[in-house]
Amino acid sequence: MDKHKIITVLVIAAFFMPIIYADDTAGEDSLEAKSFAKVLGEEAVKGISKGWMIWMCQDLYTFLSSITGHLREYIIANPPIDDLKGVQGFFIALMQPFFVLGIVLTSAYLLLYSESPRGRAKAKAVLVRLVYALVLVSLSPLIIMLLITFSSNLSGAIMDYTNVDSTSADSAGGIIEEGSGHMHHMFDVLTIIHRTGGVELLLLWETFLLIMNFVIAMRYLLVILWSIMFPVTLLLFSFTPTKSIGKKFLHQTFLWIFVQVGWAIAVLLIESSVRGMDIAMPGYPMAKIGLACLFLFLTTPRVVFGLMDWLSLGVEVVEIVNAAPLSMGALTMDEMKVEREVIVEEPALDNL
Amino acid sequence: MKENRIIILITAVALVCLACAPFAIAEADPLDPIAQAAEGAAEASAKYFIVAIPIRMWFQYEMMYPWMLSYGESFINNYKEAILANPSLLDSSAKGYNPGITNAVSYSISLMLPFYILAIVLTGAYIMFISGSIEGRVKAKNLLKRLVVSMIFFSMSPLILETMLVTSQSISSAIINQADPANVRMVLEGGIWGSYVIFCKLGVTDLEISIAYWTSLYVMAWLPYMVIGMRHIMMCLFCMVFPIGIALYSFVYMRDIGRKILEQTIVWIYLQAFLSMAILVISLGASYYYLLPADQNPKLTNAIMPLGSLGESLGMPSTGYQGSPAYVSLGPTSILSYAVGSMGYALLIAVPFMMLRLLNKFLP
Amino acid sequence: MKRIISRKTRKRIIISLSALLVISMIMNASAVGPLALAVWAGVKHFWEEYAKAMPKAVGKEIGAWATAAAIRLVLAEFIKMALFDKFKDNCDHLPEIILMNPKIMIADNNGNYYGNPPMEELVNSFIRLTQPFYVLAIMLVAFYLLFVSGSPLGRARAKASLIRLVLSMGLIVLTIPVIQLCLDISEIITGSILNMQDVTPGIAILKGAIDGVYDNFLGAITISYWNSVYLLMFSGVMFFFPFMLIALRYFMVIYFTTLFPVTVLLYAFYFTRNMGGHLFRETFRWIFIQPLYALILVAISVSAVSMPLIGTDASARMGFGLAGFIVLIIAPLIVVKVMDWLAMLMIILTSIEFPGMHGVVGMIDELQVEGPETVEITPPPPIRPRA
Repeated sequence: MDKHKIITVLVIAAFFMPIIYADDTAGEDSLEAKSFAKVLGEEAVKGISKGWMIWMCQDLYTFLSSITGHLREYIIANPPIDDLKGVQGFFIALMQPFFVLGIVLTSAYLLLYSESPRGRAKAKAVLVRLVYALVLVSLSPLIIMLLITFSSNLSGAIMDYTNVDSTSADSAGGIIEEGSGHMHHMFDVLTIIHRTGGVELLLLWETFLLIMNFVIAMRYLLVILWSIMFPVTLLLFSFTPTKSIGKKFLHQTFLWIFVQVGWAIAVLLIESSVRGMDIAMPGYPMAKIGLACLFLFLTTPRVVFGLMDWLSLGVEVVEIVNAAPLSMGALTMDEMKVEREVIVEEPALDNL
Repeated sequence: MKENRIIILITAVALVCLACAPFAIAEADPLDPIAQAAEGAAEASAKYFIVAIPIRMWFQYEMMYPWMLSYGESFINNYKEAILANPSLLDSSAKGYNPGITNAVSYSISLMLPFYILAIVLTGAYIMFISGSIEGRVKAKNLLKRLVVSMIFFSMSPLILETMLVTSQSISSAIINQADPANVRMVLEGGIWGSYVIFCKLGVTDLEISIAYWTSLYVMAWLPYMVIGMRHIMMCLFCMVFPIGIALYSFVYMRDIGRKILEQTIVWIYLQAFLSMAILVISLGASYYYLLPADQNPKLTNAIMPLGSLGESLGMPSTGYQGSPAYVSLGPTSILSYAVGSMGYALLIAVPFMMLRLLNKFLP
Repeated sequence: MKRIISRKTRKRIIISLSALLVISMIMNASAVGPLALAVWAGVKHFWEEYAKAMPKAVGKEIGAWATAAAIRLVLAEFIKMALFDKFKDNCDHLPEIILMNPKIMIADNNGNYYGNPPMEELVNSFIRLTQPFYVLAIMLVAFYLLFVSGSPLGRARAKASLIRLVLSMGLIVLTIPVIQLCLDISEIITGSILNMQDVTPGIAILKGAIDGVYDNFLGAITISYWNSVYLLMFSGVMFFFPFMLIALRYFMVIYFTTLFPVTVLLYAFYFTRNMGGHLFRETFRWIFIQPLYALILVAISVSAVSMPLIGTDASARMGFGLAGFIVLIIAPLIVVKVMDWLAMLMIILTSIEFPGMHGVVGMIDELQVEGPETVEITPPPPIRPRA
């Protein structure tokens, strides 16, 4: 049968279906007053659903916020050098012909073809630079190992001044946990009020915690990328035409390896400032500070890169939170029902 | 077609409801509070549990699971073929033989050739017949040399393009063969199936909570192909315009535009190497799993009955409902595998764009 | 974590309530038995009524869900007719849409060309606007040359300005033919590019992407209306944007045509030369973006031949189609230097919109707008005299 005919029949049937179940008793959709017992029964069952939601999201919260208990391991994490050596060897083998060609051509020019003293001086400088670059490229695994170990040790040393390993209230992990836990607690309370009342808050803390986990994984992968590309970077840096690209690549390599140190400093900042704040202003809502520290942690890399200044940080936070006022309004609208009573007339006075 | 199946299903349900009409059951006594409470509880449990949850579980396991197997796994199964495919300009027996680009290249060559000829003739006439200043003649001679050289490159442009495409393919193939396919599969699957597990777990109670993870499934399934397709289209575009780029590069006034076209052609062709490097990084990123010891690595399953061992003893395992063959027991996802898997997909899009920003203005 | 009721208070409440219960039970020791029996009877009655009310509730709920699903399917069909089929139609006519140019000059039956009257009016009004500035500029330059003894460089610049001003006065009169010339050149180039290659494979790929998104949208909307809204928003942005940009070009061409006299004036006068040059470049960029669109469409068709996995894999086909749309959106914007690749990509990803209106839409879904109840009002009986 034609699809449109089926749909027409269905629509007509759907319009007639409510008539079958039309009865003048108090269902969930009607205006007639429901007895208190009925509302109680409904809310009890809805409460089971809400409790289930809270339980599931509690699992998710434990899953995502586990990072705060292991901050030190996450921040110090660096890819193992042994894996990278093999791939770097592949790239070095790829670069070697270029170097050999360059040295052979330059020396041929020097020996056989040199015209002016200026040309010879330039060729000699190029030759020296090529030899330096060749040495550096062959040593690139060691250089990367040096950089990574240095960065890792530096961030470890900075974090030794903090007690980041514990999740007590005055460690960085505890502060961030308090901030996100506050949001999770608000989500629990809002869900008890209405099943979908807490969804924005869920999205909020879920986004933040996910971003925290993701940023660390992203840095790990990018460190791998720039480490295996290090021979190529050095090659590009040593030839004059490609020097600008080489400089950009080198800049990126250093930045991504040393973001670790930025995070360690952020952890140190969080702990020292919050500890002082608690003494100076007792009773300050610490959960909000926890939220601020979460933001600090998330945005440190981008501030370090200069990709983001504080204004755009504010803009981004507002964008993530943008739906909150709307949701509050809709929640209020839902819980507010305009009720009209059945018009009861005065009984007629018929025995005057 | 799926549509027809749904329509038939709904028609059947509607007919069943119509048939039940004569058997409508009486209402509860409004004066009996327990009956009222029971009625309220029955209605609410019908609405939120008995009807809604099977529907949602059907959506998650009957509709999204086959989708995951076909769409979600598609890139993981075919990544090598997708990344390494390059059009072939001259070899008519190759798999990606593309006569369209060759035609376009010949067309633009035939477009610019008159200009070249005109320029060479005019410059030659200037040198031979019009005796200007010495500076003018030197400039004209240099111009002639440059014109002739660039005309040689210009008429060889199909060969140059083919060389660049073949070298790019061989470099990318060498890089991508370094990647361990099992590791790539493990990492990428950790990302997309982790998202699916969280979607199943959260989506049983209410689908709105799980929208973020459901949308991320679509993003992860389509994004790699979008990046590869973009590179393919832009590469074909710039290959078609390549001869014009060479021509403009040699005329002084249009040098900027010519340089841009040449740079973009080279960058988009060699972007393949960066995509394969991203796959190599993904395979090396499997070492992220060992960041934390296995017992400290938190896991999440799609368990909707948080009963644990009690559930096991009741015959309800905590990793999903195993009664029907349609429902799957999805393994646990750990935070490390989920994070690095999602970022592996993000890397596939971040690396090409990062390189696009870094690699500009490298020609003299 | 601050809870609403702290642990200590909760404990106290529980302890005091249970103490109260025990005390009342002890004090009414004789009432414990009947109390327990009454509780048990109540519980049994509850479950009986629950079982009785369940079939009706389930039936009602299934009916409600089936109704909603049927209505949603019908809605999906309407959305398909209103949106997705129109998108596919647009894609079919993409070559004609690209070739569209505003009519600055029109021809009458005898083959005479003259400017389109509305355009003529606009351009003439702008010319009239620039007239006093010309007079002022020429007077200033002449004053400088005659009375102010400046440096040789200044005098050379002033002389060049004077010549340019006079020449530009002639150019301004010819605004409309000049722009029409540029538009004609652009149209000819575009036409020849489009004729170079058959563009049907490219259009088929683009339509394949639209079909794929619609299939996923249909699968999502049967379950939950609001979940599929995100796919709808994404498809709206992605599939509609290229046509919006082409239409934007149409208006920008008209805009820059009317602005052309001002552009020429600014370019002629020395001090405002940069501004004038910038406006000139913008004008020609917007006019000559048309061949770029044609080139992109041809590139999509050409690459469709050698793109891997299109025949076999549905996911790949959809991804490549979406890539075609992205290229149609981004590439002209980059040429006109409005955007960077990265910024545009971020805009596309946010159109999928994770954080957003989820709770709102859930609550609006469950929000029930109740209409007023009508009650029959019977008139009171007339007041009868006492019998």
